[in-house]
Amino acid sequence: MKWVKRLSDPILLVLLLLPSVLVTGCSKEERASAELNAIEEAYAETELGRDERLAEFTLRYEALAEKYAGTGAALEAESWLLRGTSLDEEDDATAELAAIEEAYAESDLERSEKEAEFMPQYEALAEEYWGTNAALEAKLWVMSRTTRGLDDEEEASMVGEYTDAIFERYARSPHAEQLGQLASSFTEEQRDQYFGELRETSPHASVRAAVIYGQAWYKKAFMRYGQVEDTPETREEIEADLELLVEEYADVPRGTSTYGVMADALLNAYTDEELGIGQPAPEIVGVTADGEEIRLSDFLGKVTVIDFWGDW
Amino acid sequence: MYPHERSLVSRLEDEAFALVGVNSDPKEDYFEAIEREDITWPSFWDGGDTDGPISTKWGVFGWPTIYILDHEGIIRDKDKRGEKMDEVVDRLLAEMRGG
Repeated sequence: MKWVKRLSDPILLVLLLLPSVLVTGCSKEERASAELNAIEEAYAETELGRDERLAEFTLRYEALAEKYAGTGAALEAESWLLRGTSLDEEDDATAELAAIEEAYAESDLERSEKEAEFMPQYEALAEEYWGTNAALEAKLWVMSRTTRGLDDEEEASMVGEYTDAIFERYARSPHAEQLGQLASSFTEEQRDQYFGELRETSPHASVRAAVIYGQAWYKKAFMRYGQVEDTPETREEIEADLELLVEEYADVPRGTSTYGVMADALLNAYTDEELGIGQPAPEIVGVTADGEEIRLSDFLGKVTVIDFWGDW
Repeated sequence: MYPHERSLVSRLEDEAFALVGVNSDPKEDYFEAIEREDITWPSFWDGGDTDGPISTKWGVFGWPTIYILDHEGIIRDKDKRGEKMDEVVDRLLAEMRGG
């Protein structure tokens, strides 16, 4: 029969099969992407409260990541799951925080009055966008103001409460990188406890590097001021952590630099002897905030006070 | 800090004296501070936070940290503030003039 004969025609056969090959080859990505879009839309429109929303959408993203494992959409779902926030929320929170910071910078009030005035705004932002990077930044702002001036014991206990709440939400988040700065507020015990956990369990190299650096930096700082005993063991611990950063986290960015560069600088910092009284001050080559190059040696011939300062 | 440093700088305006900062603020905070506090002396800008390369290399862990150098660039004193800073600076200026 003519039809049968046509069917056996190899070219026709390929043409007949091609659409189904295309459908099965592409459609997994396409279906995954369509489902991801649907979840994202539902998330943007949901009226669920903060915690219910997180619970509900965690389930939906988990289901998608499992069902479409290997697709781009599944990767996006996994990255959502680590944050528990949408990228739109992150952007909104960042923009709102920037607006608060701008108003804060323009306020003419005294610092303490200004802080009291803006505290509710920082708190509200942290509450509304809890989980985002900006919310964590706002929370840390609030924490540093509410614990300032307390006696050591009260401070440690309040810092612990804040940190427990933060860890509950941020322990697996890439935003936990910010927690490296908590080193200055922690007691030595808290530092070992919280940072020890993060450096073992965080899935993000940027977070692990931040806490390793934080631990090393503060041990070194506290050793200088006598709050940590200067022993060969402590020095070895600091060195081992900094070397770990140089070896395994060298390219992880930090601000405008990298952990490799910063750990190396800390490893090779001038010793107390090199900066001792009677020693020639080492040269500093740098730039002003206006971008003009300056050197410490520009001031030779003058009695010079070097003042490491910040406006805080 | 600021009022004392301002008065030191203006008192020694015509002397062989320099106050040089190493600033750890984000740029916008730095510009805001120099305007608000009428800061006339220059500063190295250390990248915007306390982990900057200059502070790190110099092992600075607390702010402010002060070094006082004589006119030959030798470290002569550290962490003297207020009147004590004035005394050291005046002594070093006198020493320099005395030859």
